[in-house]
Amino acid sequence: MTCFYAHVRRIGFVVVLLSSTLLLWSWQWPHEDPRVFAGFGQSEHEGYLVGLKLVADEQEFQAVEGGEVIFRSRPSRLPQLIPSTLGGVIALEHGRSFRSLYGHLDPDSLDSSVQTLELEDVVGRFGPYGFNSGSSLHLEIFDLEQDLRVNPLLLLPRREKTTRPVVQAVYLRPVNAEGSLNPVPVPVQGSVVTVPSGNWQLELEAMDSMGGAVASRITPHSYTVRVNGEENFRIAHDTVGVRDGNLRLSGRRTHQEFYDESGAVKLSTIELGDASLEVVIEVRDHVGNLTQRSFRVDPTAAE
Amino acid sequence: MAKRMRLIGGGTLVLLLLYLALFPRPLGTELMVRVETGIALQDAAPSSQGSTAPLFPFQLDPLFGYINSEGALAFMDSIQGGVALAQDGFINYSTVSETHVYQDGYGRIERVIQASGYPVLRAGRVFVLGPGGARVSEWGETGDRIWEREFGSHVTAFDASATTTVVGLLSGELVFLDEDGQEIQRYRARRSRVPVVYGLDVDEAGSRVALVSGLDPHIVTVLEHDGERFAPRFERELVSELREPVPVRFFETAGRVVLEQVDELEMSSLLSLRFDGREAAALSLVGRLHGLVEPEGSSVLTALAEDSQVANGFELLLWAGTDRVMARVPFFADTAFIGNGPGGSLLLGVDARVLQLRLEEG
Repeated sequence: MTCFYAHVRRIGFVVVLLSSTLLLWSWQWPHEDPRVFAGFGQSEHEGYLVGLKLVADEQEFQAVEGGEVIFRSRPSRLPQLIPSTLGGVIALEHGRSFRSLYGHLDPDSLDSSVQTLELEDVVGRFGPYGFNSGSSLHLEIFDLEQDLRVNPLLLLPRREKTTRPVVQAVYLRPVNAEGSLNPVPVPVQGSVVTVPSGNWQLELEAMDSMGGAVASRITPHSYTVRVNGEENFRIAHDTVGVRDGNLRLSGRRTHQEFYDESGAVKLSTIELGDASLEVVIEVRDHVGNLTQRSFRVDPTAAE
Repeated sequence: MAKRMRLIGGGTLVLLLLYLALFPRPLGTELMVRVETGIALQDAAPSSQGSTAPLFPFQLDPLFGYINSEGALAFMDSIQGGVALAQDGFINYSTVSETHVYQDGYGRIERVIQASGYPVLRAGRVFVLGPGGARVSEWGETGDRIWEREFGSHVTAFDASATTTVVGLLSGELVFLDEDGQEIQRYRARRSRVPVVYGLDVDEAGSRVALVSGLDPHIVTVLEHDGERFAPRFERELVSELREPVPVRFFETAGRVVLEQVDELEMSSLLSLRFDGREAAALSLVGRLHGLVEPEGSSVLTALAEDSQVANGFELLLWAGTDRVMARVPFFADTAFIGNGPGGSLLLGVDARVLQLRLEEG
């Protein structure tokens, strides 16, 4: 029943998102030629990145849509105020329950007198402000009604993309095994892996590129696992929401549940009995470009 | 001659008695500001580290440090990316630090914390705000993480007492946490067109929370714990159009909550409200608030404001939270600081000097 409601909620969200996308035709990228430096849901400082990190030649940027300035923060010496890890910050209300937030801004570039911003207005300048080892713009889009951060790539205009996600490595990690069994690598496309029967966690290292820029090395958008032709697992970097004090990707996986310590993605657990399993992993980017890995898992022959 | 002298003496005595009868008390009190000590930081050497007496922090960019109870310099260092300062100790952190070293006011290392983000010290507790601005964790005396919580939107305000932690969010929600980081309550002021939390303060006992939230209008709310949960005691609309974090603070001795507001013409003022909301007074500032303290045992609030009309101008204001300011002292400085000093005194930092001031009524 819980699963049914999860599907209903997911479908409902997609319907809302699609209709919003149609309505919000005026959304724009903050720069003419932005490069996505880090993607939505990417692992960062032991947590999810809940927006995009963008770099561009020009440090001045525009809002993703016109809106009302509802929050503007600069570093302050007043001990009553908290330090800002995002440096200078500005948040806009766009109506229809959407808000956008921009961080790592030069505090001197934020004009206190501005109350509304049009599409063509310069919001400010980004840079190495706050907890930012480089010079990038932090962009978040928040759906107040759903209480979710939404992947900006789903709302911003589609940019030409010719690359596909790259699967760098696939592992099978034993679950609840006695002793410390190392993960078993799945080396090449169409390979056969022979492991003892039991439960195995499927793990993946993959990346995507927005193309053109050295810096654009981001997380893929979705992962699907099929075992013997049936869907075993699916998750997409659509939204991040909070439950029980933890951010959850697509309302499900906490950061600890989704990424291992090395940054590999934990997909599903497969149950290997006496028979072989045909496993297919599909990795998609946000425009649907697909990279697929398939392999067979054979149980070790009984002695 | 002798008779005339007696008449003059008697008349003087009668006039004196008449005066004392009519004015049994002094006509009024004068507030005097006395400079007790002054430290030129470039020449000062920190005193020995043996003492455990209370220390008093100051921050004069790019320096920070501590004054001891004798008014001498106990410790001084340069600020890296930022510094979290409290009376018990400090964390001097870089802008992208993943390790935080908590030191006492003499600079002795007390604990090392492995956490990304910026530290916040409140009520003797150590918190770290995560790099994304939506994660809060608390760290124990051995550097271990006690709890960590992530929030659904950006953290815009934060404060804690010894028992209660309150987190204000861009979504307009206020989240109350217990000592273990477990959520005990949520609150949202609903009267404004746009929900956002701009500022909050938790009183020392953890039983009252002052909240500035909402846009159109900004609203100040004082919530009080009624034994079960925090409930609004009063709400008041503000003239403010600030759209920025608002400093708000309880002053227990004065029995008031004080906050900064900035109107449409960008005129800054301090608003003082009694805890029950029945009495309010405002004090115009020459520019944005730079510091606000209540000397120990005194009901006189001391504010430091930047003078927006004059380059490097500051103004020190003494105020009892009423309609009249007690004193305004303008001065020039590149950097300035106001804080509490030993024995109910004030620390006024002006460039590379720290003055210990005492307010006296006479």
